[in-house]
Amino acid sequence: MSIHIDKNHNLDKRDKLRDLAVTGKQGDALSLYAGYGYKHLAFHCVKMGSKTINVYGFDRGWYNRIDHKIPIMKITKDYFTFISGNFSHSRQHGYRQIKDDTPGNWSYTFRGFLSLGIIPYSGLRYLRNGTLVNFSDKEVATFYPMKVDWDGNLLSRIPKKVRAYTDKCYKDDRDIKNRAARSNYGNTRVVRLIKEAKETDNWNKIKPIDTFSLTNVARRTELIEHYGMETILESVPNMCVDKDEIDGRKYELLRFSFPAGNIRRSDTDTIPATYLKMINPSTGETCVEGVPNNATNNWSNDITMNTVKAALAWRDGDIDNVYLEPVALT
Amino acid sequence: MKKYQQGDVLFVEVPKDKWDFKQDGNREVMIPSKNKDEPYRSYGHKIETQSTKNVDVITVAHGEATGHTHSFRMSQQVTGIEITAFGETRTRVGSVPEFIKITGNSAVIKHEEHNALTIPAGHYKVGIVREFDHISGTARYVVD
Repeated sequence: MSIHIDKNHNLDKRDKLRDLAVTGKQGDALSLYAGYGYKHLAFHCVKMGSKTINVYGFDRGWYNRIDHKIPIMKITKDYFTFISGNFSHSRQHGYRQIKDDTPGNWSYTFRGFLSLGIIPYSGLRYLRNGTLVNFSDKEVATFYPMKVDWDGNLLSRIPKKVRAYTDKCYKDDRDIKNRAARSNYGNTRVVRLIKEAKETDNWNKIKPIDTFSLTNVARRTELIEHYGMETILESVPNMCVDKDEIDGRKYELLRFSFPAGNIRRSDTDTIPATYLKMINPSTGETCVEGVPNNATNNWSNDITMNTVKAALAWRDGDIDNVYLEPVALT
Repeated sequence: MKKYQQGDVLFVEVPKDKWDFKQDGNREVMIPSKNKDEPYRSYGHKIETQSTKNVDVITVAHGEATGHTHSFRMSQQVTGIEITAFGETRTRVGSVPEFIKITGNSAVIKHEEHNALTIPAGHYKVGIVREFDHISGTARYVVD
């Protein structure tokens, strides 16, 4: 995914901005409106001295407060400098704002200014855990302050941590894509095999472990009915971490050791996978549903999901991971 | 705060001080109260999307493979009940409400594979339980 950069319609604005930088007097100003997708942003470029233009961001919408006292960038006749420090429109992680100096961070104003197309040969790409900016075919995680010349060449030295973060972005993105593709392939394959098995009454091509590849609970229940829950559980090494009975309903928290080959083809190790085993109170059917290994952070590798109640709280999205027992459950 | 659950569908009671209701023409609108604390991220109003004044069935969750639904059917309720749905969540198999308001009496929700669930009159957030896919490493709402 990337942003639309208007490369053709803002050349006159580029000339005006350059004129301001070269010949403008102190106090002269120019207003620019960001491009497609960022029309709510306006930039006020003010000549501050003989050489420097300060650019201030304004939001024409109601929901984004930009600190007007802090310039978002400085421009001279030789280069643009994108500045950190305007926290009002940094990436948010929950309610915790990430500092502008975090590599891969984006800001609305940065994206908005790039969308004008004033800096040639530039681009922006969002990967799952970071934003990469491209100046003259050099792609790197965003960092501030970042200095770029009028021809779109990155002048700033790329810090070591930014290089490392860029590599991490590529690796994480590749891993996430591969895992999603493998999950999707596994689900599609088993759905097709179930269909074939029903038509031919030959279930040999399906293994009990394939139950965990299915994303649809109803289809998973079909396989559980066919093989029986015990056969499926025996097909993968597992241990019971916790047992609980809530309002007469029995639950078990199981920790499986999945062959990692399901996720990374070359791997021969196993990975932990936590599942909650429960009984449908209306039909008496047994089902297993995945819960993360970590009780508070889906992305963490630490295994902290150790109780049935923590798993149920996560499953129901309860506040502060404290399980709120239903008054009635059918 | 009370929670009612039918299979993978959750009805979590909304505290009365979180939202107000206002009549806007022939529709009702949910307006966030001044207190905008969690868990109701009340950035805006929720407009009435369905009402049993106009429709006989309000579906709060659709099944993808089974075609089953979690639905309030007015023909199976006692008289005097009115159910209003607010907001809209779009899923692969159809739109479902974000909130429901039940007035008059307790309402009964039915599903083909679950026992009927009686929900007292009140205001509820409709939710779907989640599950974690260890192969893709992602969480998703349960689909049947």
